[in-house]
Amino acid sequence: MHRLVVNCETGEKQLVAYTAEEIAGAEAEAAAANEERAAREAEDAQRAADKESGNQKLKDLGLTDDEIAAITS
Amino acid sequence: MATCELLGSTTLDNNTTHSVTFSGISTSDDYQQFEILSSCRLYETTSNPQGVEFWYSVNSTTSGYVYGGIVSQGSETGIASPWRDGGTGQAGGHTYRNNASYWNVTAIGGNWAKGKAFNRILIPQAQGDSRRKCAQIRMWTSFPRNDSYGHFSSHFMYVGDTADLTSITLYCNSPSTSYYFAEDSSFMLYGIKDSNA
Repeated sequence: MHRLVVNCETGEKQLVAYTAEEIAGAEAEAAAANEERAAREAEDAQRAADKESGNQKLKDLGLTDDEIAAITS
Repeated sequence: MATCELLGSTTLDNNTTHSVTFSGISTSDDYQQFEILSSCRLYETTSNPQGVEFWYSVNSTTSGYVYGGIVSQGSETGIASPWRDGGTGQAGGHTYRNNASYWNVTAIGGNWAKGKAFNRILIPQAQGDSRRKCAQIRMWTSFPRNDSYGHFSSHFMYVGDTADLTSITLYCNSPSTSYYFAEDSSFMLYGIKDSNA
């Protein structure tokens, strides 16, 4: 795992390797980030499901799509 | 008359580069904006999902970011509305919000085999007494598409650093991850002068 540094003043390019410690830290943080993402995606999925369910209940009450849009937007 | 100068450029010759830094940016020149153009691909590994993000840091201060953008499903009716995340999401575009947020190329029908992502970052400089103070960036990205889909999105990103801009780093995904830009990915930094003249 590297970082590439381009010096705009000199034009020199330097490929710098991450230290073992930096890599370990990155992997640990990546795992935590993935967990956070999964939680957010589940939250969004639940929100979408709630919306669909709510719309269906309004339709069951006899509201048209336009009427539902008018009161929910 | 505005002039655009190429300050630095590079093309990767390996699959292990996580970030590209442009350093040594002169503080004496009269650049009013900076712009990074890149053409890049995510290097795939078994532990590497299809999703990709771009993050940046200015003067070693890493950005936060606010999602915003438009995602195309490849049809007139599949274009989602602009949206925002963070508790103020707009009604439109929910279907695609997750995919856009994490830029999961596969989920939106993208295909790395079809080409590279194109990424443009505009870095405005505050003028006057606070000239060259840089704290916010706008980023636009498009991703390779299959035969039916396309994807374009934008992020507003921010850092609290208000010192002169001397270096900027673009990361493959967030700085804390170990994803890599693929070989042959290219990055260019431009300085724009006298855009008001």
